[in-house]
Amino acid sequence: MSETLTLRLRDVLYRTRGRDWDYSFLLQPVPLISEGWYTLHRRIFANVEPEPKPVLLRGALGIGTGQPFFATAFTDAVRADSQARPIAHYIAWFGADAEAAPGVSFGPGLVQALARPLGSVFELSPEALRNGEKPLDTVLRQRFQAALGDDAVSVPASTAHAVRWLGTIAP
Amino acid sequence: MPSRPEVRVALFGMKGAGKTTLLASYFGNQQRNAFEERHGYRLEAADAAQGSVLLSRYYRLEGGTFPIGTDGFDTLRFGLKVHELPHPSLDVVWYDYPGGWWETAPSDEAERDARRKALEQLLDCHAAILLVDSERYLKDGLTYVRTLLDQFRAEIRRIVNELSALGKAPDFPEQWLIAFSKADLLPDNTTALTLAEALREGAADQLLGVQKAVGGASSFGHEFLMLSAVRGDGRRVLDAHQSLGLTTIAPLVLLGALSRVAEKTGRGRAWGTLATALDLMRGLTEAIDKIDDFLPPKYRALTVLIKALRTKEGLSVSAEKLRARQKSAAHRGKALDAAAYTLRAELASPETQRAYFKTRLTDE
Repeated sequence: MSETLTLRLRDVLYRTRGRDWDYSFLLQPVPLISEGWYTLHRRIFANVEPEPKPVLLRGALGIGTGQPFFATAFTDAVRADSQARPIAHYIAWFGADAEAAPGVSFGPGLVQALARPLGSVFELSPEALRNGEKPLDTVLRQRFQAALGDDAVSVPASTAHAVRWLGTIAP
Repeated sequence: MPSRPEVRVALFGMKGAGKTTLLASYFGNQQRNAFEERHGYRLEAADAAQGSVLLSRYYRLEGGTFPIGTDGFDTLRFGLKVHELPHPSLDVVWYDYPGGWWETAPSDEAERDARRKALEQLLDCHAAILLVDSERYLKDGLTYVRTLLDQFRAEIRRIVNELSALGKAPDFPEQWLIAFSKADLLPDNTTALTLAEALREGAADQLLGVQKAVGGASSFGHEFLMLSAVRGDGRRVLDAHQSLGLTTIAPLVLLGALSRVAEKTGRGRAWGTLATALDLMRGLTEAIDKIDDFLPPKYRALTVLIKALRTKEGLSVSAEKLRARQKSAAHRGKALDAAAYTLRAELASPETQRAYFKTRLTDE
């Protein structure tokens, strides 16, 4: 069974790595807490080992009245780092649309839809990205987002997978 | 969980240096039935979920592929459980410091905070290991090592600045091991001694630079180790069961502490290969009654184990005999004695003899 999901990119937290640059956020929603996303990302994906078959996770961040998410992690079938290891994609989708989405695998479809902006940064060397005091991932994110087209993407979602329920995660 | 001694080790390495593979192999191989049968102990992960992730990486190694690169600082705690004993006798704790942190500023306040917490844990370590990637060493030679050491010095200085901003003294571990990861790729005649000679001749300035950065009293640039998580060709794993040096790390930390007691009491310095160092150590430390008095507080929980290395037998007793004593101690319920014999047996393993060397000179 195949269906189409529409994701607003401002609801997506997306972390991956390039051939030479280390894991960085390429998409970030407005931070839910003043410290930013790093710790929340680590909590959502704690003890998740990405494999070629996407892992699906549902839960909520215990912030305010609760922030539901639908997340996925998987290794890329094609892209590899400078050590020839497959890179991993970590995607967390927030908001009402994510909560209402059926338990289907949307990650590979989303990465496919983002292939052009990802391609615009994937091969860049960390040296080429240095820009004064700006953190590397800020520069990467700016370049990635400059190559984005629309604010939302429609992605094909494939057959239902088992979804791991994480419950509410403390911030 | 019962209170027990723990050996804490910080692991530093650039991304791709092999940290993830080392930790997966360290845990995975010490889970294997064949290992347990031979060594008389196994490791238990304190966090079952973390152990499950490590095992999935290890199974990937057994399947011939290396695990993907990891993201973020991790604390991994393993209990060393000797046969017949109800609980682990000793914990080995690893702090896996991500190589990416050397190269990039934190992306937000949360990551900055995570890095601060990681730094505080690093100060509590008994020893630190800097990984030198053998694959890159073979490809780029000493140019790579010099660059690595210069980058590491810059990272240490950044850590010192961060700690100063937190009002903390940069009290780094006194023991530093320079470990060549992926040592299976090195020529068969390579030993820790030949690697030590090459670095101390070709990267002397950079070694001294890091030594000063981590504190003049440190052993940085004096202890060398060959580590191999698997036998591979750089891209594929050929044999996930062939590792080198991993099980010697915890006993080397205890040996390092004992060696510093000898130095602090003016008795001299143990150096050389493992066999030589243990032999020298026996003469240097057997007259010291109160080892505790000469150990920094964070080492005192390890005193019993440290004393066990001060043996009259040096390495003249085989690993098999030591394992028999380990078994006997465990049978009598003597948990610490059993752990001590376990660690000594690891030092006595013939395959580890070429994997370690400590230089003689104390300064340049």
